[in-house]
Amino acid sequence: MKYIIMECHSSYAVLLDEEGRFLKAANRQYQIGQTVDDPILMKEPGTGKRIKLRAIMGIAAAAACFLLAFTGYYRDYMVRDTSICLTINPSVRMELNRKGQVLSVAGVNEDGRKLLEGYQQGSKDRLAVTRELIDRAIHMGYLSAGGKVVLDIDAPDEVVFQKYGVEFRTELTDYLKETWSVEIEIVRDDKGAQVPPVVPKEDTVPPVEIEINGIEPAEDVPETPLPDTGTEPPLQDLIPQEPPAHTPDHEEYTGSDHRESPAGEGDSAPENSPGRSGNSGHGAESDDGPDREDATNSDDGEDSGYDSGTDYGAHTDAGSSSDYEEDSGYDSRAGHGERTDAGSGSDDGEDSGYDSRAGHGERTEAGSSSDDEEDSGYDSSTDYGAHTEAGSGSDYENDSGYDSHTDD
Amino acid sequence: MNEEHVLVSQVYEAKEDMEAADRLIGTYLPFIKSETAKYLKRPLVEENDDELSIAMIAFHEAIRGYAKGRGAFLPFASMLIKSRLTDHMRREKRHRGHLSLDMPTGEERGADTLGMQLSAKENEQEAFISRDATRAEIEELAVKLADFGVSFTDVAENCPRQRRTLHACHKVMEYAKGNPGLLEEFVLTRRFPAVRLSRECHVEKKTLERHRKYLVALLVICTNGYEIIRGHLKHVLKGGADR
Repeated sequence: MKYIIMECHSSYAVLLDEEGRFLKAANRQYQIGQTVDDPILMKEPGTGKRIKLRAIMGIAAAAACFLLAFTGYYRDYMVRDTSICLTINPSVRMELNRKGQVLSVAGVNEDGRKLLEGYQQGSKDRLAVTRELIDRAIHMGYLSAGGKVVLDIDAPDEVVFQKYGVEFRTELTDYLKETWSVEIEIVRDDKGAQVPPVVPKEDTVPPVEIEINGIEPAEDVPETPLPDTGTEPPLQDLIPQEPPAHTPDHEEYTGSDHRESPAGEGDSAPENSPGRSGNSGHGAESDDGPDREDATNSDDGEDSGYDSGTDYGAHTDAGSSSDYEEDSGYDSRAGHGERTDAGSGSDDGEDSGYDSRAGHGERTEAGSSSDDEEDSGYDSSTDYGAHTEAGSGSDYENDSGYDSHTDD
Repeated sequence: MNEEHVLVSQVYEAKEDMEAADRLIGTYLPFIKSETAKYLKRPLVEENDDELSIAMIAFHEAIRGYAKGRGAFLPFASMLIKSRLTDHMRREKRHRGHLSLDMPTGEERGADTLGMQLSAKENEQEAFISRDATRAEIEELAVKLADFGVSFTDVAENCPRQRRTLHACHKVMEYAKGNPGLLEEFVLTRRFPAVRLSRECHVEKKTLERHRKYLVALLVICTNGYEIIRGHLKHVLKGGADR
């Protein structure tokens, strides 16, 4: 581009370029009317640009901060995180944000829409909204005693599902127990996960039946009370009045598998042990044949006492251990682990008493352990763990009493 | 301290008045020379050095860009002079060893084509005559503009920076060139017809008023007697504004 020198000053010159712009440049000994190609143009003061740049940077920073804050707020409060479908007969879907606040409530079916007609959501609290909806359902006749409330939770992860499930179950159980006996079911929308039940207190009247996906808690909950340990008869009542005179090893093993129970065959359970049904000779298992039995392992005594084994831990009857060696007594074992009757464990004697073993671990009677006497007592083993009776071990092979095994 | 205050007040006066700026530069010419010599690490051989011109224009930029919040003026001017000299040195270094056909070849060694050099020698006389004619035209234009109370420096100050505004002004110039009556009336009355130009050229009146001095210069150039300058602006007058 060519420039004509229009005006010269000591410190600068005014130039006219071919586009009609008048510019100032360094006066390199120019003369008016001279045409130049490479002037050193004077730069415009940068204050305006700098101020503008600072302003733009400030605005950009503020916008970024605002965007950052708004994004967090938006994600926490305005985006749907969890969906809960409350189904009575009317079905209503609640959309929750990440904070658990109710964003919207909409009827899923016709009854649900009717239920929400005229409904003014008083709060964003999920529990409050649920209570309000249940109240409306009760007032509108959708929910009555014996009814069922299903909460179908579509949560982003298991933790949220568990949190909401437990919370809803607890709150609604407490809320409804004073008015209705209503079944509350909480299911997960996609994965079918379940919420641990909130076991109602015993004195709750009327009881609120809780079902989780159709599984009754009473059937599989290990806390199921065992046969009346709290109401067991006193130990002295279980001991026969005239116990047979014997020492712990008063009878040596003779290889005989068949022994007489002092209380008689089959019906010799202690009469003073009420509730121990099955003492009348209805043995669920009966081995009349010869049993292999190690010389060191025998229940070769006459047990007429109560033998209750409840295993919740590692229980090993090894060697010459004996529980109530005077087997006319009470034998109660409680453990939550593995129970092993191995080696020379002996419950020797004729058991005519109650023998109840309930273990939640693995029970193994390895080797040739045997309780091969004539038991006329009650023997109930309830194992929730692996129960293995290896070898020729047998319990109460020739029991004339009640023998009940419940293995899970 | 008092001297600093005086200097600052002079600088602020020079911001508004280019004559005052020129006077201030003249006053502080030893300072400018000293800073240039310090940068070059050698005494100035002659006052024709490009570096001195660059330092003076940098001082001028310092006057226009100075604000009280930026500290003392002289350190600010010194910093600006050094920056501009550094820019100049870098530019010179970039072009060192590279010869362009478009570069003026009068003072250069025979790197350019000989024909161009010969052509330049042949046209030297013609160029001198042309420069004289151009100078006479420019001086006449300056006198004419002085009648309107405008100098070239004012025009340079008032020249639009943005290309869009520049094109709007060129549109006005095109319209005025096509309407001799308007130009005659303008010269006679010495009144800038902002309303009419705004209406006819569809340019905001505010824009026209803001660049009034520049437009006055363009309109005067469009009147009779400034053929060389109009020839220099042939791209604009041929419709280059529409590009």
